Amino acid sequence: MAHTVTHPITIENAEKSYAEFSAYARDTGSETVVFDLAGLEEIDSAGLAVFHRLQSTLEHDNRRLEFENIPERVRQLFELSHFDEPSDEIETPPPPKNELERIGLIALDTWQDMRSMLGYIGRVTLALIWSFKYPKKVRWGDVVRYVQETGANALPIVGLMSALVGLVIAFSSAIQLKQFGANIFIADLIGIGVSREIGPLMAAILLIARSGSAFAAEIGTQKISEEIDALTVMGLKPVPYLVIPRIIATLITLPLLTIFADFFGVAGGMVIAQFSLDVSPTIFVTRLGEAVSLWDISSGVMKSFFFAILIAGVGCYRGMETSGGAMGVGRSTTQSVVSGIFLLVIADSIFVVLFQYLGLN
Amino acid sequence: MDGERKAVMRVRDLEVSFGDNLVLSDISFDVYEGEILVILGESGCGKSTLMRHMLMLRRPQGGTVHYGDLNLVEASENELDRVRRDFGVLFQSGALFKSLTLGDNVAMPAREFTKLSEETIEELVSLKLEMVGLGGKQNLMPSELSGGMQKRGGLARAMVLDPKVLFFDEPSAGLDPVTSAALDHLIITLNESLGITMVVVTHELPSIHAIAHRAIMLGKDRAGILAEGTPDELRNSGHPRVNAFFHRERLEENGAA
Ligand SMILES: Nc1ncnc2c1ncn2[C@@H]1O[C@H](COP(=O)(O)OP(=O)(O)OP(=O)(O)O)[C@@H](O)[C@H]1O
Ligand SMILES: [Mg+2]
Repeated sequence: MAHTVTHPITIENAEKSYAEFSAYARDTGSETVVFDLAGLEEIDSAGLAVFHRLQSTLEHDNRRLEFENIPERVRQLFELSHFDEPSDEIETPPPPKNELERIGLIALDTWQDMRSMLGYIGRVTLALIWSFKYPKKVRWGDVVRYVQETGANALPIVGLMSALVGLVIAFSSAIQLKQFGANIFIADLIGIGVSREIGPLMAAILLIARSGSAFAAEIGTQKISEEIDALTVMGLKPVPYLVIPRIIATLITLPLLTIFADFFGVAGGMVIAQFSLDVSPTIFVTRLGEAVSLWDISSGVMKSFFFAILIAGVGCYRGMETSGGAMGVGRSTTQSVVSGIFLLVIADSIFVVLFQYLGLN
Repeated sequence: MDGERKAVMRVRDLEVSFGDNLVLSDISFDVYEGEILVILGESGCGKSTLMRHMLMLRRPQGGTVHYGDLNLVEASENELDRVRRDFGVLFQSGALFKSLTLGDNVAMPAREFTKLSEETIEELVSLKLEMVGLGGKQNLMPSELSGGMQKRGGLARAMVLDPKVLFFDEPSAGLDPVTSAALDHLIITLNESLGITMVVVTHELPSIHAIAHRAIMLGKDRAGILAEGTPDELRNSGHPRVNAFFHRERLEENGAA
């Protein structure tokens, strides 16, 4: 018993046709479902998809789909879409079965990623030490260019952000200080807070955002356009050629940016001291001199050397790991910021604990 | 080519995989001095991968690649650097450094590795640019050049230190027939006049017939090398896949493979 198809099956009536055919298939209940296509004058890709869909559902129940009186034109279309063969398995990478497994895999991936990133930074640091032994081999011209890009061009934004953060911190502590009549201690609070943490962190975060990401994007683009391969086959190693100049440049600029940020952060606090706490700049600066030790400032600057290697290292690593075209470059750039900030916070925490432990307060 | 056929590179039982994906296995062939060897095969069969491993840009999972007496698979980075000074490579996209002018790109290997004076280097650069038909364009940036010009620029850079072996990854892909024929002509001229050995990855039938002294065809699905010989030998080989390639035929899915 065959079901006779009389109307065209096109994109317009595909869903309706499917409903009709599957209703018929359900009603007959026979093993083999037969359609008579003698009257089928028009069928398009959506129509073919209807039959494919019907076939898969039937196959699922161990039933079969058959056709009778297929017109020549339709037969060609059927052949093109491989109707006679069992439909191909859609290739999918075997998905991990449950959520727990997925979380585990992500954790493992992240761990692997962190390990190879830290390994890379370690190797780059060794190369850096080596390059200080042979300073003639360093590409100083590139270093100058990157100092300009990562340092000089960053001054306005670093100054502005640090001043604003100093302002905000001073403002939010002003109320409490006033309650205790401890107005003058605003200088201690701002001086120590900014020189130890706020200054180094603001400078580092802005370096990640401006330059770490730029390194990842620049090197990533060179990676996908085969420029890195071209360098390698010319015997120019990517690390001394691309990475070392960037790291030396950030080693020069980040400590300077940190001092710059310290200065503007304190200046921001000083404004609030004057207007909300009636502490005049003269008194503020005098108190600052008593409260802030040289160690407070130098520990912040010292940390920034480590941050510089970390940030430039992460940016370059992400660039070198780039694959997969323009989208890959975007991914690397994002990743460089995310892992840069993550490592920055971890490193900073380690410094806090370390200084505490060594009694360097 | 003369009769003695001295092998400059020998690849034996090369096996390459990316993770679980085995891309090349059982690849063995020689590159003879002074010849133009063409590597061909269907898209995705691993031609570029093979070339990258001959240059040891990535270490293979198994097998050996000898250049002269040195096994590149086990060579140190320093040894590789030394060997690569004999190589010139034209990458698929030309791979010119986008931040340098064409002239600086071509001059780069000379500036890095020789003690030539700047004046001599400039002469060398204009000589090489002249050779690839880009005379007088040294001050343009790569972004100001067309795709075909970038490729020829890449070729000029690859040849600036007179390499012994030149590698090309699809030199004529994406070029119009006229430019592509000109590039073929350039390849033949360089081979004949300077005696440079060449390894060329390409699918272009006209190119293969124009330039190849010998060709090897890689099989898909890690089938190793399907056929090896002169273009004419391959053309008339009985192998259905090789035949299909050379006669631009559609191969029935369930036909022999
Ligand atoms: N970096 C990589 N990581 C993972 N897989 C890769 C990588 N490079 C190549 N492959 C895989 O290796 C196989 C061969 O790729 P390859 O680029 O060598 O092909 P091809 O023969 O050059 O193709 P085409 O003619 O299209 O350029 C492909 O299946 C590809 O998926
Ligand atoms: Mg390729």
